[in-house]
Amino acid sequence: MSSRRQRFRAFIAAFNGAGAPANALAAEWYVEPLDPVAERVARHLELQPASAHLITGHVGTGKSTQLLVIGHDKLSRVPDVKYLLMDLSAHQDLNHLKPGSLMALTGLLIGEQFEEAGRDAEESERAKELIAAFRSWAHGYIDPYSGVPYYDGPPEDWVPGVVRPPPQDLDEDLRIYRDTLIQLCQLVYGPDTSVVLLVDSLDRMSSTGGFETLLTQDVEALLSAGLGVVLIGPLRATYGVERTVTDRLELYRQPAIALTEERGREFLREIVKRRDEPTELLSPEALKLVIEYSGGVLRDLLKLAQKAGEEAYVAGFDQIGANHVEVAADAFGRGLMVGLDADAVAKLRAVVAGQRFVVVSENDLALLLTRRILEYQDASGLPHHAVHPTLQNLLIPPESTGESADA
Amino acid sequence: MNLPTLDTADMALRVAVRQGAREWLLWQTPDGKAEEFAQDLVSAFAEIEGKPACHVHAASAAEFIEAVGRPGDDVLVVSGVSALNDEAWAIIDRMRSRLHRQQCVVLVADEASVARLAAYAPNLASFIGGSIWRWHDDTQSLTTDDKQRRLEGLRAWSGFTDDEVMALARSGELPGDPEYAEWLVLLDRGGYLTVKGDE
Repeated sequence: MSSRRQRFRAFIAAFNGAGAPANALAAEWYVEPLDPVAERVARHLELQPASAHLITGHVGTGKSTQLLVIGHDKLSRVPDVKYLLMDLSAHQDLNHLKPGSLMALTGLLIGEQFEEAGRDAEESERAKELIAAFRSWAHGYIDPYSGVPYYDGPPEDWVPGVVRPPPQDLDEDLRIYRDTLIQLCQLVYGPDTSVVLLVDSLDRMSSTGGFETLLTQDVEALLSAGLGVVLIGPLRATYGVERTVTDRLELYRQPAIALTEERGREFLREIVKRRDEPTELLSPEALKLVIEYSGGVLRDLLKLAQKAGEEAYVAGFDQIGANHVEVAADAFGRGLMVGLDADAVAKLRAVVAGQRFVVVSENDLALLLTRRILEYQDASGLPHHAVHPTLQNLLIPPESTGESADA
Repeated sequence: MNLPTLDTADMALRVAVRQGAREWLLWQTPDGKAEEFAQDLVSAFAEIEGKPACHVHAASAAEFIEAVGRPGDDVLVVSGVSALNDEAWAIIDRMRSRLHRQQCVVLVADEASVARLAAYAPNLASFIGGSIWRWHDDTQSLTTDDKQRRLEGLRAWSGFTDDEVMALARSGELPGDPEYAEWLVLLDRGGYLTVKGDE
């Protein structure tokens, strides 16, 4: 393979926006953001381990990475706190989230940490019983007490587990799960250790009904069991009437990085420089433009740089120039335009023209959730919005440029 | 709003550049033609890289997750996604932690499917970013002057003549840069495409 091709391949691999956050940490690409959410959450948990926190934000703003940092970099240094990291979607269909699902999976996760070595027989036996109980609740069991008054044979009623819809009253069961969890935590970690559960992927839930149930049942039960909980949750839960669900937790927003301040640009420059260091393909002009066009969304920053690298390679260049970033940004913006109807385009044009963006409808929320509109936080913590930079040129009405609308 | 266009050979070149890592590319093809174009893409990729891509047909969320969740070293071309409705894309987006394949995935879909993905799978759309193209037979639309200009650029870039490049291709010594594949296509010598192994 030519060295040119190797260099560009290495660049493109380094700017993979779909990579696991753990890979970025391992490669030392992680740059601590300004006023990091991870720091604020971790400090709160140190003082009050049995507390609940919700992190929301746009797709691609680094929420999962912050969750990992909370555990890996922050809580790991606190002697009497143990953290558990869970990607709920890897174990549970989020479309069928039922009360007790999170409790049961937490029990299983804690059960995986139980080490038999050095325990007396009674303790080991008890731990195994508790773990088996969570396994039954999660995956189903045969209920010998099926209500048949004269039991005269093998049990016949299969009761589905709680990671699929179960038939019984789960509020009562959640109390049982909670008490079982308390016992299991004591056995696995001892009485002086606080346990914090870090849960990723709930931001993928398309409606907040299931999320609200999770908060009112599982999270409440976990808190009453003395566990702390940090959730990556759906952005829509912080808007409109659905906001009531978040009143039960400490809420943290992971906004896009504001490019109006030099420290925001410096942060993004550092992210790019670390990944470009081995290959040094980005020209200074290209770096500046990639930051501008990213709108401060971390994944978009990586994807734009990557796409510019691809354009430079295919065009036969040995360095990535500003023109390659322009081509990449145009393609990126056209991708964001896909599926927009006339009303959405009109709304975006109005925001570009200076109209303030306020979420008043499901359509407005959709623009936010799909990154056509980006949310920032000003110094006082109030949100303000802007259209994604890669869209702005594409939204100029044809009559004002003299060009065809199908450019 | 038109997407940037690529014909099959150029799309295969883009895939070749991006292979080797967990990447997502989206190629919008004419209605009803996704299967045909997916197969053409697989063939074009094999001509450039000398190794196959894997082609799967996924017409449901479960099939999609199963196909892309399976580990594998080959580039994966996925067609059939025109059958996925809004809910299916939403499911895929929620279950993206199970999309384990650590290699490039190319989705071949019609215009309506691309719009559904954009609306109902925002996280997957974010992974794709600007790596979305519309099929267009660009080589047919290139004028003779366009082709000559491009050939001049390739000669200046490499220092080779057309005859030298064709000789390298016939002897199996052609370097692996995609520009050489494009060069042969512009000379209507795409059949010479066998590439020297990676150095």
